[in-house]
Order: sequence, then structure tokens, then C-alpha cells
Amino acid sequence: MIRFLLRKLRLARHYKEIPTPLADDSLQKNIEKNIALFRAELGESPDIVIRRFTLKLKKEIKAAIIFVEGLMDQQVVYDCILRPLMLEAKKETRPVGPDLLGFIQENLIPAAGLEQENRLSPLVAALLGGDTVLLLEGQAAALIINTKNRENRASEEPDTEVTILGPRDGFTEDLRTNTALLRRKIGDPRLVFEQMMIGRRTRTIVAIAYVQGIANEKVVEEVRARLKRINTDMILDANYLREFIADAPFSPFPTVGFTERPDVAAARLLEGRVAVFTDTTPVVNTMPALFIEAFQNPDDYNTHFLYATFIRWLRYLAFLISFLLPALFVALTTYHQELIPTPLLISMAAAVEGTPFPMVIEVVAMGAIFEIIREAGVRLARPIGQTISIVGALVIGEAVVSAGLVAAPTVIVVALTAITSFVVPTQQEIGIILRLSLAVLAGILGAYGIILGLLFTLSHLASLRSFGVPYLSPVIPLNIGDLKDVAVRVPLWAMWTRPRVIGWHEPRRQNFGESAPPSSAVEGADLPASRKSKGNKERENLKK
Amino acid sequence: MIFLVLLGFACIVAIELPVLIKAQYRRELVVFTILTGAAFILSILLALGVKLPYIELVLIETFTKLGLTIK
Amino acid sequence: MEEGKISSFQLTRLVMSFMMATGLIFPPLRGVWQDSWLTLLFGLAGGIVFALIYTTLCLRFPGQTLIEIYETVFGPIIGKLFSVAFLWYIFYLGAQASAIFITLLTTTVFTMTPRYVFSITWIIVSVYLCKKGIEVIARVNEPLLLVTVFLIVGTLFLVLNLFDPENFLPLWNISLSELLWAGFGTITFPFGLNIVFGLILPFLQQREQGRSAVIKGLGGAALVLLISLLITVGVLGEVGEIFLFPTYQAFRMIQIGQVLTRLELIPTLNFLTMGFIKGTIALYAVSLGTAQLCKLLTYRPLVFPLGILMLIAAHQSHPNIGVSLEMIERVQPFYALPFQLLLPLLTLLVAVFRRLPVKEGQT
Repeated sequence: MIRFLLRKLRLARHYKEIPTPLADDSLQKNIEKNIALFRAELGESPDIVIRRFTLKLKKEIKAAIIFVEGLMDQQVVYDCILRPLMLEAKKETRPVGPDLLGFIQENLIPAAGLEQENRLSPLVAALLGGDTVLLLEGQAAALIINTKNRENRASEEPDTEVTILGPRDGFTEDLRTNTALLRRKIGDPRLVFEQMMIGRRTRTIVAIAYVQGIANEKVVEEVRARLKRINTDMILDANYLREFIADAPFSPFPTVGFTERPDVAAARLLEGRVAVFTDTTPVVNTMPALFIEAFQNPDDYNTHFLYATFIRWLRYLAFLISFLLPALFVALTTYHQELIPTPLLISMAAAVEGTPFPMVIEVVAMGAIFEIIREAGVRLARPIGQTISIVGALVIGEAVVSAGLVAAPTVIVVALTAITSFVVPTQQEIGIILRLSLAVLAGILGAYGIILGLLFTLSHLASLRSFGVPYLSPVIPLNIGDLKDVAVRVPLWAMWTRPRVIGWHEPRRQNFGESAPPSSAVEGADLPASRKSKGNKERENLKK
Repeated sequence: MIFLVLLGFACIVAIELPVLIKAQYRRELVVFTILTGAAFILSILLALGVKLPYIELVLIETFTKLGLTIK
Repeated sequence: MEEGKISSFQLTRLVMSFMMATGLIFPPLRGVWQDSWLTLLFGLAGGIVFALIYTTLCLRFPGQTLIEIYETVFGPIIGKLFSVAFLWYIFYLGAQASAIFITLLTTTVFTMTPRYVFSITWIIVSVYLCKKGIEVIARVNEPLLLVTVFLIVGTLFLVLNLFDPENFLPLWNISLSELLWAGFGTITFPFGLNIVFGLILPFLQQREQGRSAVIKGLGGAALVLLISLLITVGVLGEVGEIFLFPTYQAFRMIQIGQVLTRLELIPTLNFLTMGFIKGTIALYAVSLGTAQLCKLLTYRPLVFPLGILMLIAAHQSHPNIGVSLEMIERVQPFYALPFQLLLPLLTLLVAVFRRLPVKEGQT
């Protein structure tokens, strides 16, 4: 069977549909023939508009503009193309040389982006990207005028990554808006965007972003290579890319990070990561990804560091509970009752008394029911979704216990697990798989099953790499310096270095100790710029 | 029991063999076959309930005899 | 063969886990009870001497494992014979470790579950980890060792209410011959077992630090074992000698209020992870050694069959745990000595005598 699959895979790899480019698709001098060329290429779709007019310079010249309605900006087309060419060109007194297109380009059209092109396929590509193409009689070339419609939904806070404090902007569906949002966060001119087109039919524009000097050149090269290797006909979302370029394609753990927030993306870029923007989606992929990223919420950096550390530990605890608690509960109640303190054991035994199913089945079934309710609630319109949740959670939970089908502790455990699983949203998918399989293992083999499952998971996680970086770093392999943003969240002025596994090229964020807040502010006499210089000054004073 | 053993070995062969054949590792294939064959025969014997000697008992006996002869 | 590299600190921790695993369950206590700390130090000293010999060998032949060294020194036929014997030793080491741990589980916690359920699941995970290579084994070992050390040091505080220093008195209640015999036993089990790392040393990033890393690991393991001995002897007293698994029994005694009672399951499972690492290292070493013996390009296809053979060996290891104890106490020292000491020593002598390795330009 595996060989069969392998053969299939091999087939899939070799099957390459080669798009047949036209042998010679350059434009001709006759405008009608050119228009016919466009028509042949684009078909008779009603959204493709061909507007003919006459350009009156010294003599009358037949002209036409072609655009795709809806993709272009009406106002720009009117202001920058039609009005100057049809109305203002008459008043033109300057001599027109033989290069008519060059003259128009330089003197008549006040648009921001202009380009000459004489081959059909780039013209069509530009047209479908929202640009307008200007054709002139007697010219074997055309002008591409940038009239892209940048109207888009306003940048608003993404629902998936909500913060209490901090910026409220989020990425939108438009690539240019997103890159602009990032530019606004990072003023460094060395922030570089590289664009390419992926997807033979969707022709999605994908942009790689990184900060030169911080990002590891090899990682950037690897990202470029992996993106270039993609040969598919559609990229509709960031996840399409993610699945194509992930290091471990079968692993349930995400080895490519993603975010919808410009501040998160900026922070990751400045740690030395690479971001990949995909047009038409607000989700931005970032790589290399670490397991620990799921626990680093933007709010951690917007609140006091002690509180942030505390919350981060709560998050770790919640994650542990979310995948371990059902398994522990099953193991304890079925195999190792001696570990439960006696009073608790008695009350639990009383609750479990009379329920018909073994504990494993109860936990797994209730867990599955919860997931079903969640799924139903997510997909429905919001008001109905809430109703479903209330009906599901309250009514079913309550009724099932009072009917004596399921023990009350099981419902408590499942509910607690459900809540804690939402604390770390990005690892939630893996949480479900881990939770259920560990619970089943615990039902079969007790605590030994849990340990075995954990060992297996640990082995898998320890073997994962994301673009050359060990997935579990800096915890495994241990890097004590980098625990500053993992075990605790040290004050920002004390984050002297970037995470070493990612930003080792240019590790220094700020000079050691220099940017610490002046501790002598209370003394007030003179405010030294830093502790270091204060020490130096004192030493100098002593010398005197 | 024997069925389980067969199933297990079928799984192992199905996992390992295609890789070996595809990469054309000849020597690896030979060593793999010998080891798997040995493991297979021993497992079948165990599954059939044949009493095999216990390694530690053998070792203890051998060394006791050795000690006696030296004495 | 093996692309991964480990750092010297990772090697230190691997050595620690390897030494501690069985040492925690079968502590060097039998017969010497309150003087076990003495035999432990004795064993540590001996283990370091053993380590010095084979690390010298590995440094003399940089980039070669013991298997390759034997062949270089003794020629293809005798070298292969020695290698096969040595591989058998490591193979049985791994089988023994898993047998002991599975026996611990089946005699204490899971008395109703058949043995093969544990051994099969154990071997599957072990094979999975083994195929990932030494780098991943070293990484997996890191958190497991950390938890174990924390647990043992933490237990020292949990048993303070039961701890009786008088259990250690009289301090030197042992004759020299007894001490020497027990110490000899401690050298070969567990400290001498580090000969396995003769197959792993070439995969070190800083090769010249290999020796110090191994010795540090031995020291660390001795320290942790010492603490566990303190707990066991101090809590159980002379009575403890009747128990099969004294450390397990000591953890069982923990009682703080009504809440922290009968905690023995947690350390048991934790020692289990140590045993898992030990079994995996042994399996890795055997697979690698066999692949090198047969001059293969990769060891990975051998892991699964060797794992199953190890499983069968673990099954056929002992009819009951008493036999295993007898083996460790009476036979193990003589059985292990040739592999741990004599073979490396002989190789070193022959290598010096034959002026190997031949340096370039000397031919």
C-alpha cells in the first residue's frame, strides 16, 4: 500500500503541466489588430472594457484604453488618462517627436506608475492586476498605467489575536496595504521586500520580507528556494503556502508561524525572521517558527514585565492542563486511585457511582461532544452560534449528569480542558489530537501510557526543525541566555540580544546596560545617561 | 498471537523495505533480512510457546562452571 | 552514517542518564547498606579509570568508533570477532535495562498487565527515537534528566520528617575485603557501563572535550546516586535491605499531611524515562556498531529488527527478578570486565606497540 502511495507521489512530482506561451506575442502597429489580440486572449467577458477614443495632437490618432472594471480606480482613469488625452492634449503646443509613447509618458499622463511594454503576456498580466493599458495607432508598444484600486476594508484588529493594550491595526486582504503597514512599523531602509508570482492560475503575488543584516541570508535563500519550488495552480490563502514549504509536512505541529498583526510581524522580523506576505489574505507567514512563539502574546510586551511573566506562566500551566488533564483524570480514576487524597477520592467515588461507561469512554465522548458544539458554534452566524453554545454546553452538560449517564467530575474536567485550550490559540489544533490520544492511552495503560505518549511526542518535537532552527529551542537544546523571553519576560531594556538561534547574525539589540533606565533619578543631582557612565563618572570623581 | 506477530512483521517490512529497495542499498538489505529473519523465527517460537533458555540463567551457569574449573 | 553532532555538555548529560537509570532502581546497596556511599565513591574512581582508557583510545583514533578501532588495530578477522562480542555486550545491556524496568512496573504498579504489552509499546517508541539519530536522543534526554534530578533533590526535602541520621551509624562497619568486592561490583555496574559511549564519542562537536565530558557525567551521576542513597538509607534504615527495590520503597514512605502520600508512582515513572533513554542509547549503539561492522551506509534499517531482537532478549532475560539480582551481584563483574576493561586496554597496548594509527607521511 505504501509503495502504491509512493508511486502516486512520484507520479505527482513528475506531472508538470507546461503552459504553452505564444511563439511571438509582440504587438503590431495596427491598433485594430492589437485590440483583436487582447480580445482573443481575454475573451468577451463583460468586465473587460475597451474604450476607444481619438487623441488630437497635431493629427488625429486612434487610441484605446483597456481596463478591467472594478479592479481599477475610476477616478484615476478619468483624471490621469481620459481627461488629459481627450481634452488637454488639444492645447498641446510642444513638438511631438517620433517617439509618441515617450512623449505621452513624459508630458501628458500625470499618473504615478507608467511603463512601456510591447509584449502581450505582461500587458495582460498588468491588466488583470488592475492596471490600464493604453494602445495607440501606429505604435507597436503600449503603456501600462498604474490605476490599481487600493480600496479595501479598513485595517482593523484581527479577531484571532486580540490584545488588551497595544496597537489596534491588523493586516488586510491587500498586499500593498500590508507592506505599507509593515513599513510604517519598521523605518529601517534595510527592510526589503522581494516579490514573486505563485500559482499558475491564481497568479497570486507573494512577497518575502526581511531586514537585511539581521535575517540570516541562508534562511532567506532557503525561503526563496522553497517558494520557487512550488508548482501548483492555486494559492488562495497563506496556509496554501505554509503546507507547501513546511519542513515536516506530516507533523501536526506548525513549523511555519503566522500572524495577522503588523506589530507581531515587525517584532518577528526584527528578531531575524523572514515574513511571507500573500496577496488577498490578511495572514502573514513568518519563519523560522519556534514552539514557544505560541506562548508569546503581544500583550506580554505591552504590560509590566512582572505581570507579563506571571501571565506567561499561567499560559504554560493552561497548556499543560489542556492536553494532560483528561489523561491524568482517566489514569488516576481507573488505575492509580492511591495517588488521590482520601477525602477527594471518596467524594469522587460517590459521583462516579452508577455511571454506566468506563471513564475513558466518558472523557473521550464528552471531549468529542465539546468539539462538535464548538465547531457548530464557529461556523454559524454569531447570534445562532451563541445559542448553540448555550444549549450545548449548559443543557447537554447538565442533563447528561442529572440523567446519570456521565459523572459530574468528567464534565468538570472536560469543561476545564475546553477553556484552557483557548488560552494558547495557535497550538489549539494539536491540543485536540494530543488530548484525545493521551486520554485513550491512559485508558489502556494508565500512567505508563501517558508517559509513553509524552515520550513519543517529545521525541517527535525534539526532532522537528523549522528552517534549520530546532523547533523546541531555546528550551531544548537549552540556551540559558534566551530563556529571558521564555521562562520570564525580562524588562525590555534588559533584552540585550535577539534570540540566538534566529538572530545570531546581528545579536545585539542595544549595548549591554547602556539603555537601562537611570536609577539615580531620585537623587536628582545629575542624570547620567546610563549606569555605566555613572560608574565611570564616580570613578573619575574618586580619582580627582 | 501468531497472527499478531505476522501482522507486526508485515508492518515492519512494509515500512523499511521500500526505502531500501528504492535507494538500492544491497548490503543493508542483506543485513536487514538476516536480522529480521532471526527476530521473526524467535518471535514465532515464543508465540508458539516454545521454552527458550533464559539468558541470565545461562550466563550464571557458565560463569559458575568457569569459576569451578579455575579453582 | 550519522550526520548529527552533539555538544560536550549534552554528552555529559547522556552519560549521567545512562549511569543513573539502573543505578537508581538497583542502587549499590546490597550487603554494604550504610557504607554504600563508600562503595559508590570506589565505583566512581574505578569508572573514571575505565573511562580514561577508552577515551584515550578514541582520542588516538579521532573520528572512529570502538568498532572501527578494533578492526584497525587487530585486523579484519580478530577485530570483527571482538566487535561482535562487544556488540553482544551492549545489546544485552539494553535488553537488561528494559527487562529490569518492565519488571519494576509489573511487580509494583501494573500487577495485572502482561509483560509484552509494556515491552512492545516501549520498543516502538524507542525505535522511533533511535531512528532520529543521536542528536535527537541527546535533546530528548535534556528535560528528562532535569526532571529526574529535580525530583530526587526535591525528595530529599520531602523525606526530612522520616530521615534518621542514625541509620548511617556506625560509619565504617565493613571489612576491607567486603568493601573491595562491593566496590568492584559498583565499578562494573553501573559505572563501567560508560564504555558504550566509545561508540558515540566521534559524534561530538568538540572532540578533544570528550574525555572531560564523560568524567563530568560520571561525577554528576555519582552525585545524584549519592543523594538517592542518602534518602534510601536514611529513611528505611537497616530494614530496607529486605526490599527488592529499596529506592521505590523509600519514595513510598513519603507522607506530608494527608495530601502528599503514596507518591511512589511519580518517581517510578520518572526512572522509567531514564531507563527508556538508557535502552535507546544501547539500541542506537548496537545499530550503529552493527552497521559499521558490516560496512553499511546507514544504520537506520537495522534499528527495527535489532529492537525486536532486544525485546525478545528482554523477555528471555530472567525468569524472575531474583535471578537478575544474582546476576548483577555475582556474575556481572566477571562477565562485564572483559568488555569494559580488558578489551580496550588490550587494544590500547597493541595500538601503542604497533605504533597505530599510522600518521600521514610515515608510510
